[in-house]
Amino acid sequence: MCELSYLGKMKQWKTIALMLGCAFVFSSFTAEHEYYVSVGEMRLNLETEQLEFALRIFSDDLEYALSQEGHPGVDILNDPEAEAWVEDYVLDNFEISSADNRAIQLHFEGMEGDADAVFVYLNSNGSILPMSIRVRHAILMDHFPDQVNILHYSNPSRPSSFRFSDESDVENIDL
Amino acid sequence: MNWDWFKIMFDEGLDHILQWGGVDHILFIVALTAVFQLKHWGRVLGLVTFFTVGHTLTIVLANMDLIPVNKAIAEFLIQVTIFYTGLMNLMKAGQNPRGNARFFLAALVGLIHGLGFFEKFRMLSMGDDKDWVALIPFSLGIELAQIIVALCVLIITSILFNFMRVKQREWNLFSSGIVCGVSAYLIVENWPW
Repeated sequence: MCELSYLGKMKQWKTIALMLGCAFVFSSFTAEHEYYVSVGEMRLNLETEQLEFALRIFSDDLEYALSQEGHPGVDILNDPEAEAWVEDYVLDNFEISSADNRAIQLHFEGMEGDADAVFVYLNSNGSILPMSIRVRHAILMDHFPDQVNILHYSNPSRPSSFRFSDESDVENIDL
Repeated sequence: MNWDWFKIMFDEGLDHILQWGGVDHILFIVALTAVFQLKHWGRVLGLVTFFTVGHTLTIVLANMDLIPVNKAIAEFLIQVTIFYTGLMNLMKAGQNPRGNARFFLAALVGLIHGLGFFEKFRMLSMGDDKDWVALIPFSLGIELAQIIVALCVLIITSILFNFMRVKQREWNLFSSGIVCGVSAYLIVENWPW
């Protein structure tokens, strides 16, 4: 009698352990398909011979990144200092250089947007451009491991597109 | 549309199903193929294609703003359709591999899963609402991923049936049970109200 109830308890424990195990496994897939994407465009202005960039970034993702980097509770559309913080953040994480790693200075022209997403505008600031550049596009990657950044190069004769992720945040682009 | 963009969108479609976060889509394929054997591969390809037609139609309509997409409701409905697919495998009509009801179900489920795929498509084509061509590689990637999953399931089950003497019915009950269990959990998890 005593032995039987002991066995019964053992079984109960196993069932509870199994259920807890299942709950643990299931909680890892929440079916929340969260995508972390930014899409940008690069074009070569033939008159000025400068590169121009428009990067579209989700506002709440950018606010999250800025709050993690020492600006808690930032409101990128309304805080007066926000634009300067965005400038610092973008220029730290989006860089271009020549193929032999000489940095090409970028100039932050400004930003505009709404609660959904912002456009950030950059240009190559009067630099003399090489034939081929190396782009590092790590925006938001420190804060969202699944972040994917797409950059379209709208070269009229040969448009191309590049994907940056934590596997590779650097791409070589022929101008 | 340039070739790089084609490849990027194709990979994104592929990844959407094959990554761990896409486990609910894999479960759906498991439930959809539970009553089939490897020799039915033609019907399984047909089912996957019906599914693809369904979700492509949804993405097209959603991209034209003809249907509203509420992310929370979409995720919830996706789990409900997976649960239903598993449940159908227990019913007599659902166990007939020659039944045609399964094709309608696949297309219907495809229509609903399209709401989920649209979310990703919209983000990737962000800033260019009329980037229609990008839908082709994206859908092709999803289609190929589902075919890969379906064939893997059929190969695994053919090993179970032929070498481990598992009966089709037992496999059906076992796999549909897992699918219903996980999707019931995900229904609660994604309850939108």
